Amino acid sequence: MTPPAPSLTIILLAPLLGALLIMVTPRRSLFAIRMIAAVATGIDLVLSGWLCHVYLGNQWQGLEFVHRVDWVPFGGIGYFVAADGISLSLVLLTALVIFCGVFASWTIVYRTKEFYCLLLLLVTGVFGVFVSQNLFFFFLFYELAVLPMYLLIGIWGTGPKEYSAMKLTLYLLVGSAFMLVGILGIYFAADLPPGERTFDLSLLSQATYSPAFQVIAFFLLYIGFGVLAGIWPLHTWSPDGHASAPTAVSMLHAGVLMKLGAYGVLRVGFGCLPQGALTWAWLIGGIAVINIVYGAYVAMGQTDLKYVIAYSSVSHMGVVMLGLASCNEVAMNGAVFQMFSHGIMTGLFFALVGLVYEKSHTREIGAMGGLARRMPGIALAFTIGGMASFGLPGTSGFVAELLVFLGAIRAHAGQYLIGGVGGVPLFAIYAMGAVIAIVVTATYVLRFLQRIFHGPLEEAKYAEVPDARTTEWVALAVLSALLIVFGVYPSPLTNLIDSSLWPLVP
Amino acid sequence: MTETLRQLRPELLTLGAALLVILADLIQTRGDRRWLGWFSGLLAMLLVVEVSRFWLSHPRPVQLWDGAISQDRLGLIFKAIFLLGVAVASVGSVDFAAQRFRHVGEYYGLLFFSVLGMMLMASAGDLLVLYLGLELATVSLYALTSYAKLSPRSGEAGLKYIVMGATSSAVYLYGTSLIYGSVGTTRFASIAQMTTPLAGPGPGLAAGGLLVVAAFGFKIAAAPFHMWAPDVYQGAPTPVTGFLSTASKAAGFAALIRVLLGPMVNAPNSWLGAVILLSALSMVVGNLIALSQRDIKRMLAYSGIAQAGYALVGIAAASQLGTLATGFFLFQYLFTNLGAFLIVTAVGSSAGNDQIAGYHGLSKRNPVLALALLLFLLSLGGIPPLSGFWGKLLLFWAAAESGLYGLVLLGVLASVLSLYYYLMVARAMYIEPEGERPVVGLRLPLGLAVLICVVVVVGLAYPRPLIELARSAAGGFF
Repeated sequence: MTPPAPSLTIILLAPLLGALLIMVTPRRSLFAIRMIAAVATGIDLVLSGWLCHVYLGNQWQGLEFVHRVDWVPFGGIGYFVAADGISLSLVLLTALVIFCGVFASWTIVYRTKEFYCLLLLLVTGVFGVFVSQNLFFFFLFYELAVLPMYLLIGIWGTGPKEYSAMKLTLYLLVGSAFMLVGILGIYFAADLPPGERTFDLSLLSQATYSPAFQVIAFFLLYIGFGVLAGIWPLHTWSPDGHASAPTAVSMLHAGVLMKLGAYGVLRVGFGCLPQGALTWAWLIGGIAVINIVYGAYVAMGQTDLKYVIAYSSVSHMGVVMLGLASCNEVAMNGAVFQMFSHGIMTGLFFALVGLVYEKSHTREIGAMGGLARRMPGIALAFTIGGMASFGLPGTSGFVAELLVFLGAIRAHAGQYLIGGVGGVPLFAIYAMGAVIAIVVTATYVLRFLQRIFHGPLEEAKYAEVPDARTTEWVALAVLSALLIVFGVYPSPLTNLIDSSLWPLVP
Repeated sequence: MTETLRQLRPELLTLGAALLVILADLIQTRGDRRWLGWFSGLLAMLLVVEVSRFWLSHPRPVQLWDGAISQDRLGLIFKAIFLLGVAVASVGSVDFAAQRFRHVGEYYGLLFFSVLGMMLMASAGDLLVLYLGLELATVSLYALTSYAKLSPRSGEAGLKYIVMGATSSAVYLYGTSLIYGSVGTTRFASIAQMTTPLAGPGPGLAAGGLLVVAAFGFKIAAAPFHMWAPDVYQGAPTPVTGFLSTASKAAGFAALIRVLLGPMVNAPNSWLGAVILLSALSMVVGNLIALSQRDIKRMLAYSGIAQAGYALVGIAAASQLGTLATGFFLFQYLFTNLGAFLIVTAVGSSAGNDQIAGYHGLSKRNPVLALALLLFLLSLGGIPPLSGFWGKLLLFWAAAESGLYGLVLLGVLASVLSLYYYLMVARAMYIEPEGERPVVGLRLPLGLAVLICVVVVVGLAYPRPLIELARSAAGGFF
């Protein structure tokens, strides 16, 4: 059986229709609202898994599942969705995280209807970015993915939520302004005849651009997408935003939305402007290492559990960017693998932090201790996530980081050296720095695992703290299982990524 | 003669509809006259069907009376816009008119008369025919503006509108006389022959052209001729305001396209600078003053000034694409803005005034209306994928194609600015607590009219069919 032709459009429409259905559901029928959200995202999960399976089974390469609709009869603006292996793996990631996110927000009772509407709208935008092959619609979906975030954090968040929501929105909008300039630049600079200008990404990536233009435009795109990918020093929205956001939104944002940034750099930046990518590789790599080291050190000093996770995301996104900057197939495969692995891992972490907070009413690491006795299931899932976080062999984090570091050490042999030929290989130094930061990561992960779950339990305070229950298990079980599955048997994912990577390697 | 009259079927039938509504009102002298609103909405829809039949049977323009009236597709698309405006406004004001007005039949009759005037404007081929249409449309609107006889605000608005409107008519006539004095004709086709690109316009023609632009600047409420709009919009009965701010504005644009891109298209140096200036000023002034408004009708008036500025961008582009874009923009603007005013009607009837504070917590008091208003405001702000976004995209696209990059940049910045005040209303509806404010009721006719507007605003997220229609209209004109 083959998937229906407009499968990707169905993936886009399912959450949108779900949002519309929820809109007409009575406010009081909470169960119906949650079930609609679960079914809509469940359809996406099944369908995206199926598409990945078919794509792998047929050993396809390049874009498949094409669906086009003429939207505006001129200017090259059209609805054009298609997916290659990279898109598919990220679509699968999104479907997994949102499906788990729906279950993780099962307990939200304040304005449930609006919450799920916005969440589904947001996820439509995310899917749209991953499958759009027309830059115009790519940008529209990107905005759709960013804007509902303001309300989601502003209304359902915790702590300084208005401040965090505004900061996040403004940072991302400034980023999208850079991005828009870059996209328009590509549109006009492509060597197509004036009457045949197009936003069609598959045509734009085959066009040629002058080297000077590539250098400028790539930098703009790197800054624009980089804000969302959390590159240092533009990452400061991320800890505040992720710490204030409600559980499912943190999961989706840290798990998937930050990948939109890295995906944009890869798809648009590397895809259309390979020379620009090579020119700026030293900078991207350098900043990536700062991300890795700085994120890990700052995470170590946090006392609020959500901030620890948020800074660890900043650190892990550095691994993604280092892999991309290395500009070879091994490292870039690792980068996309890390996007997937980190998405699952962070989704798991935020789901767990949400649960711990809900049950113990604190996120202060110092106030907890010995909780493993009360919530063994949560403690186990937390440990699995922690192991993946510092890349223990057998978890998906290990595969991703190994690929990235192997690739980085081999990057540009003789090409990017300080002091010319025979000098010091730059990317090897980057890789060394990143590997050392892993030790820091291991330190803080083990330390907070020990402080939260082990040691003496304050019996009086935590007498009645339960373990995860019913629907809460969904996110825990699915996500932590996947971390191990892809750690032990990574080849389906690496093959899926590898099938489509070659046009993007500069 | 009968052949000529046959080519005027849409206009003649509109005249018939106006008289029919008034006659129908005479049949029933007392009791509930809400059915009149439904009836006139139905008549308007039948006329839209007639216009579409006309569209299909007239792929080529037909010149009547030696070119005094030109029945072409550009005119037809504007006629459809006006008639759809009457249809939505009639159905939307079924309850409002029955509660507030003593003479319900004449209310709907006047709507049809003013549309008849607009239809003449949209197909005029002669400066004097244009004037006839202009007067018929505006005189009917003067009466409609002051229709709530017991409200002093409504009377004041009517008076202001008459004074300013009469002044602009005088300016128009003076401009016409200058043009006639310099070229000896008022026929567009003949004027066009006098303005070949090589010869350029004489000083009389250029001055006359500028005065005509100024007169229509008043009609479309473009800065600096916008002073009347906020007061009139605020004072007029709300459904009339909705009609005034959409159909009447579209008529002004139809006339501008007729004159500037018809006979004057070869002499752009006489008017292009003025149009660009009007457009830039309207976008800046409208959006800046709208920021500080507390009354939603005044806010929408200033937003309408800014929207006129965007539409002028399409005329400044002076191209087929620009005409297409202006037509598309005005079509979607009719539904967006009329829908917004219908909701203002409903909320205003319940709150007793039109303060934005009256919208606090509307999402709890009537979630359907709140969501619809949110969609309209986002469309006005140009948020994708709603109709307003595609309208602005086409306009700015056309301007960029004609090299007006400065105007495009200003327009984009102005759109970003405008989001602030549109979102202030959204904030009032969704974030502010509702306090002690009452639940807002929603009756069938108004709900239906709002639904139609929502369907168009959301449906045009797939803009291709309407773009093709507008392209065909603009293509026949150029």
